[in-house]
Amino acid sequence: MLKFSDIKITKQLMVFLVFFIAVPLLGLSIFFYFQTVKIINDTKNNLSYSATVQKSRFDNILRDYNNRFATIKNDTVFEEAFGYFLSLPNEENRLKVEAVVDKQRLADNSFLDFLILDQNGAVIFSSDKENAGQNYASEAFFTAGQTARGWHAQNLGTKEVSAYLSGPYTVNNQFSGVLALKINFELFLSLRENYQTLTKTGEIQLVEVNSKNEWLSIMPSRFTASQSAIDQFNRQTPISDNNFLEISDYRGREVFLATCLLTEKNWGLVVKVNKNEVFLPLLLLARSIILIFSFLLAFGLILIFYFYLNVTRPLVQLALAAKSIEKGNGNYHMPAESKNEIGVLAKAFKKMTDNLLNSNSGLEEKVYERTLALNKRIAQINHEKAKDDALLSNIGEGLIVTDKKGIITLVNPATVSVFKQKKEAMIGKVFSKIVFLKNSAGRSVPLAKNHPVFDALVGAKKTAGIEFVSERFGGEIFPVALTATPIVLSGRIIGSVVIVRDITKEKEVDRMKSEFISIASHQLRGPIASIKWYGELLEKQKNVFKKESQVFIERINISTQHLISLVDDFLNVSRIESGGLKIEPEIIEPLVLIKNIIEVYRPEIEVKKITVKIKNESRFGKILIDPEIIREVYANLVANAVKYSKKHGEILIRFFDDQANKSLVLEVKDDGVGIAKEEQEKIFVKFFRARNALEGGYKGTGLGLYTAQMLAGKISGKIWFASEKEKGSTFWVKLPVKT
Amino acid sequence: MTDTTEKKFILIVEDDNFLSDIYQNQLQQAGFETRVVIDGQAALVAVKEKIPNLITLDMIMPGMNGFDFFETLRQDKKYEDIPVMILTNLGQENDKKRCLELKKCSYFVKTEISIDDVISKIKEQVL
Repeated sequence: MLKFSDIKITKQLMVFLVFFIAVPLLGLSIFFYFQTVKIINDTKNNLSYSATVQKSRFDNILRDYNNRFATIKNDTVFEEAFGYFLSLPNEENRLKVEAVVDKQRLADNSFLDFLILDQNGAVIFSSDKENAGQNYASEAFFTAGQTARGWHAQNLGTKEVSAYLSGPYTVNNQFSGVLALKINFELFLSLRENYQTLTKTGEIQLVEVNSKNEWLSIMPSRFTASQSAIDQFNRQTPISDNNFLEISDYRGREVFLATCLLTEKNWGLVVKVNKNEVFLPLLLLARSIILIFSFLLAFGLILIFYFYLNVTRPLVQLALAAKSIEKGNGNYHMPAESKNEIGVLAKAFKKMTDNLLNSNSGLEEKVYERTLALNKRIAQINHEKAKDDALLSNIGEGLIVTDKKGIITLVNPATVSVFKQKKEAMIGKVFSKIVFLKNSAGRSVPLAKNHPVFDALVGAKKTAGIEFVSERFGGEIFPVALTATPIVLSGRIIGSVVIVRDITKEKEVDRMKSEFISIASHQLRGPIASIKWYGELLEKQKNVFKKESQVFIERINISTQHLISLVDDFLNVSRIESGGLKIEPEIIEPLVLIKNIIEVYRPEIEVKKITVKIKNESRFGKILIDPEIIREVYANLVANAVKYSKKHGEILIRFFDDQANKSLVLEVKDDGVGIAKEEQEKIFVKFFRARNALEGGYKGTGLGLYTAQMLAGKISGKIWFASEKEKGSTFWVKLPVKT
Repeated sequence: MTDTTEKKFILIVEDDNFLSDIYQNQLQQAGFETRVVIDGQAALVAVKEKIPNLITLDMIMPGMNGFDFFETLRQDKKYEDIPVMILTNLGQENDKKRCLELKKCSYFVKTEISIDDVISKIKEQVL
């Protein structure tokens, strides 16, 4: 579909101009048409009206004359005078008649001549002496006047036109002749002139109508024309009362013509006016309008041309210039410089293209340089990627990368072998649909809270080494340890990295270890039990022995106890280290526990005469905690406090809650041998024994605090201490509690 | 009904003769009648021959282990009420728990208890 706005602007403007001209013109044409019709109507009315008015005037004149004629005819004085003259046509009688006539004539100047003709047409009497002796027998006014009164014009259509009003004259009721009055035609003429001064081309014609309705101009026409033309025109134009014609007159001019008949039946009036004159105002108007519109058209064209020169053409030039530049052709024609909008555009365009050409020239080089650098970088990246890929493929553990929704985006070769699934089968799937996890209770772990991947993605938590039971493709169940870390980019979690370790072998090893431990402990304890009990029996019998031997027995028993402790500790540590420790919380009462533990060490406490005080400042009466762990931990601290106390020492035991009120703290304070500053950092090290402990002969395995710390750590607890050599030590253990 | 004229009979199931000697000596000194067998099978036979007032038992024995023996023993209504004392080298908590849930079953680790206590515990249960 062609849109108007798609046509060239110059053409658009042309169209506008044409419309601007044409539409008003059209409107005006319609106006003019209606005006013409109106004018014609008006003219018709005017002419008819004029005709009517003139007719009445003319009729008045005629009537007036008729009345005069009648007056004269009936004038008894005249009749008497004329009677005398008839009977005696001498000069005296003629003078008498003339006197009467003169009187009449003096009354009005309308008569030019006063004629009386006898039956033969000879002039009996004439006011004009030159008529004496004339014979007007041939004249119409005589021949017609014999029978009836009527008007008769002579010298029709010329300046010498005259008219007679004639009629039979009777004296003593006897026809005596014809009375003819020669009319002063000036009246008529002047009447016509009055009208004719109103219009330039208007004309009133007094005409004589014959029986065929053809008329003869009585008065000379206003305009010169050949008689034949006039005659032809007169013949062609019918005359009737109240006729209106548009016709071409004797001059060949188009006229509007109105006719009417006077009361004097063979006379009529023709009122005509040139069409030109009638339409003149309209024509003038039309001409002015055409002039104006022509001027507007010309002006419009000039404007368009100017617009073309200063806007369209420069724009086209710019467009061509752009094309040239696009082709790489530096030659192009720019519009002439100017400060107007086009000039500004052209300037900006030139600037832009210059810049473009400039930057283009350096561009190739830059592109080359950048490409080199880019290629280098790409090679670098590829190299790094190759390294990463090698790394990834060689990691022995399964590595899975997920997006922030938990959908797997990457798996390494190890994952494929762990789960026995194809890489393609895993990528794009949700983590929990590929890696099935069951907890130690045998329940499926969904991708929700406490699932390592979920915790990483949603809670931004890193979880390490959480053990589950999983399933390989094909159904084989196996133990697995998961470590999940969130991937954070610009502060947002965009995914997670999960290490999946098949710990089947480790579990196997653990199992074997546990088994070994079981077997070993059984093996060791057998002989140890034997030694212990025989030692006890010896102890009971020790009075039998000499002093020296008694000491030997004592030492054997102490060593045995030491051995038992060692084996116990070692088995404990092994069990804990191998991860065989199961945390099974139960409800226990810490206060009760601590009292029980103290009872275990009661013998030594009494031997050393140690005072033990217990203070409970905790609001935790019963807590949920693994009993073995808490017992082991508390027992260690108590054992140490007892062991390293001096004679008559004091042990203060205190329970209190931590600030957050979420943990129970046990404080065990002794005033024993203490720990030297330089050895304090090693006090939790496996098998470490402080110098003063060794020198003081205190028996110990060096595993107590190590074990206690490990165990506390397993349930998110903490052990710490403060100590000074020879002043004693205070140990604290904080264990989180659930009530 | 305790029979004060007759000695109480303790059946000792222990394959380590050093230990079984101690048991025997101490128990006899305390006035008990004793008999030693070295495994569960022999123990079941001995029980049939004479119903003991208490059986001391190890967990790990050649043949059947302690719990299996216990179950087998208790199958017979006649032997329902015989107290069993497990004296073992193992220190497994779950074993201890399991034992305590059973009827008339006590559990001690040899290296954690003195021989005197063993004898007194036996006296407690039998006398």
